[in-house]
Amino acid sequence: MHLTRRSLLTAASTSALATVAPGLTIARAAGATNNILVALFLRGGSDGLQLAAPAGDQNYIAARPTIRIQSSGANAGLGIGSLGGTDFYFHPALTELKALYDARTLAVVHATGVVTEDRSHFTVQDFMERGIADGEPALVTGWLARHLNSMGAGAGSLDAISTGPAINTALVGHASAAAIADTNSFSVRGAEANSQAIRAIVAAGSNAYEQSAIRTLNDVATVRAALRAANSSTSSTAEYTNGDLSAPLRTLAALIKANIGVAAATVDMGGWDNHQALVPAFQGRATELSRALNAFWNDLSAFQDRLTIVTMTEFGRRFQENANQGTDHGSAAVMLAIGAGVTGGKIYGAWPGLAANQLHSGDLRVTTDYRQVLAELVVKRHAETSVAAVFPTLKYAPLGLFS
Amino acid sequence: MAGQTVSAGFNDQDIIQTSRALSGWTVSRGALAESRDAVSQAPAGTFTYIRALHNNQAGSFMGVNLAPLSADMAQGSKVIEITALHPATATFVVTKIARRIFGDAPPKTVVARGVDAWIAHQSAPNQIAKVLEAMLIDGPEVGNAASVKVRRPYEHFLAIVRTTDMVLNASPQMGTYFDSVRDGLHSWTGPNGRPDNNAYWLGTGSNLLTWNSSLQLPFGEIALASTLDQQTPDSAKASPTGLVEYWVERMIGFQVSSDAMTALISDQADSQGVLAALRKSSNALTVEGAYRRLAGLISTTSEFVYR
Repeated sequence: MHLTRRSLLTAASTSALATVAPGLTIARAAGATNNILVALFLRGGSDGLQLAAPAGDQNYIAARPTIRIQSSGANAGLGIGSLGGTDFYFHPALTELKALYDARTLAVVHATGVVTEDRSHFTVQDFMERGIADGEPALVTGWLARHLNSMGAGAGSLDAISTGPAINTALVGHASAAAIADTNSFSVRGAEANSQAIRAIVAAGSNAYEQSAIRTLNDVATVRAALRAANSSTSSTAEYTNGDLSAPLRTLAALIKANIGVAAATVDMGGWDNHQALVPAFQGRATELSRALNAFWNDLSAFQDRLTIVTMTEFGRRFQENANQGTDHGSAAVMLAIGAGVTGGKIYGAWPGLAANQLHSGDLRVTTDYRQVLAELVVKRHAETSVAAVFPTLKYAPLGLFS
Repeated sequence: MAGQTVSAGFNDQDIIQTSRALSGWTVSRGALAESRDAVSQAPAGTFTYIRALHNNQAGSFMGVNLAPLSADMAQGSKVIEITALHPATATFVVTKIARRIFGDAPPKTVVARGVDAWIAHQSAPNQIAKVLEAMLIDGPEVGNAASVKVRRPYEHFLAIVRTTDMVLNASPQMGTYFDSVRDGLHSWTGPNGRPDNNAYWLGTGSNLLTWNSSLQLPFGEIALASTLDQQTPDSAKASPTGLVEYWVERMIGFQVSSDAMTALISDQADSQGVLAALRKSSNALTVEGAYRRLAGLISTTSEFVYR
């Protein structure tokens, strides 16, 4: 059974959604694929030189005497091959991601990010989520919103999800994006009379609040009906952790399995701003990243031919470790691509080197604009036909990362 | 500060010099103080300066050489002074105030007057008053402004409590209840502060938390300590219309839209309404629950949501 927005609203307005047939799917806009894109933002500036370390590089060894990843011995990094003649090693906690890499399901893009002198979390996150380069006029909308809008996607369905308290900036401007932090609490509490009364109070839709309220009520009705209908398939046997990345990924997996029409989603993971005692903190973050992503991937085994995940972070860290066994805000970092269409088991990009004259303001130089990865993602996996609509100033030069 | 770094004209080196200049500025540990900060007689928890912790290597900050400033706290004070007097600071802070009052896109005229007053009175003891006068009194904008800002979930909850004279027993849940939309105390983790724009707060997650806290929290999770029934005059209990009109007037002070009024009266005419609860139950908690639900519903009207 397919629903249009109009019929869905009609159903919702008579609170009859619960009677919608099980297994409903929401109609997608013509021309769009049914692939699912997940953008995972590692907030705080994840140190790419610890995530995928040039562990044998003499400059690296000299710059990071107490925190560096080892290329051999106990607790050595996990070798993932070379880029530009330099060998790279995953952080040793990334065992699950290493297995996906070996299975060619996961690819690494190194020395990528925003070309900027700015080292403010907020400024550079804003660049990335709006999909712009430093110095460009700020766009009001997010890159993922522009992509979905360009495809004519959504049309009122719940096609874009932010698994957090509010719409991620990347999705700002896409009218049908919804923030769903947790399916269990995604409801109006109390008797049905509460929902009905609020629906009647805001029915006129005469201002931004009333419109958002109507959408909230409709989204709640849609999600609850779909979760009820798909109850058996949303239960999960995947081995999620109890950590802070597993929680939103488990929620997102349930929504994807409920077939509410998710085409794109954003997920956040914090805790990467390791100015001090980086080694234990990074160990914890890398462990959670690896295990939670692996559980998510396995949980969605029925969707693995449609699901592609990319990770990004606002910047890497300074090349030189600081006096507190941590690293401060730097420049280039690592992006990961996992899943359908990823030509994996390979490191992409151009390695700029770590000699003093190869650094950018003392840090790893950005050689791949982060937008190239995202642009290739939406073009190859979501049939985006207009890179300019998504990244207006980007000269599109795909890495060949996706097929 | 998004977009401010470039226009303010500072760079990485300025940040490093700032951290040097402010080193030694700290919070007294009182009786726990180590010998090196024994110079400080300040009580625990209060500001103190510890010369032994000051890094005196600071060089140039925003074009001003800090090195010659050798008095206690002089380098840090200079950094604060330069920052406070910088025009970009005036624009940044005044824009924030204007956005708070006039909405997400405040009138440029208001911002311009505020910035001018900020700079003209930047050494005056009543600088804040002068800036607010310039923004709010010296022009017509404030009289023309519609209610355009929505209350955040926590503000919304407090507004219900305030406008109904509800007495709440403090509950540990109150401290964390709003964390899920990062609106609880200390739950906004970044130093950039909560976004002060409607788009952020008018989302599914925020709407749901606002409604659910309004409809349930006051009587579900916080002990009953006063009754709205005692506050309601008997005349208002004669009909659903009288009841709704009384509490709309109390909570908002002016009328809600006719659609919302109809919806509220219709809800109160039904079995979940206050009057039905009064007829059915002598249990004060049940009656209070019905009143607080009504207050919660009134709070979902646009007229209450826009502050």
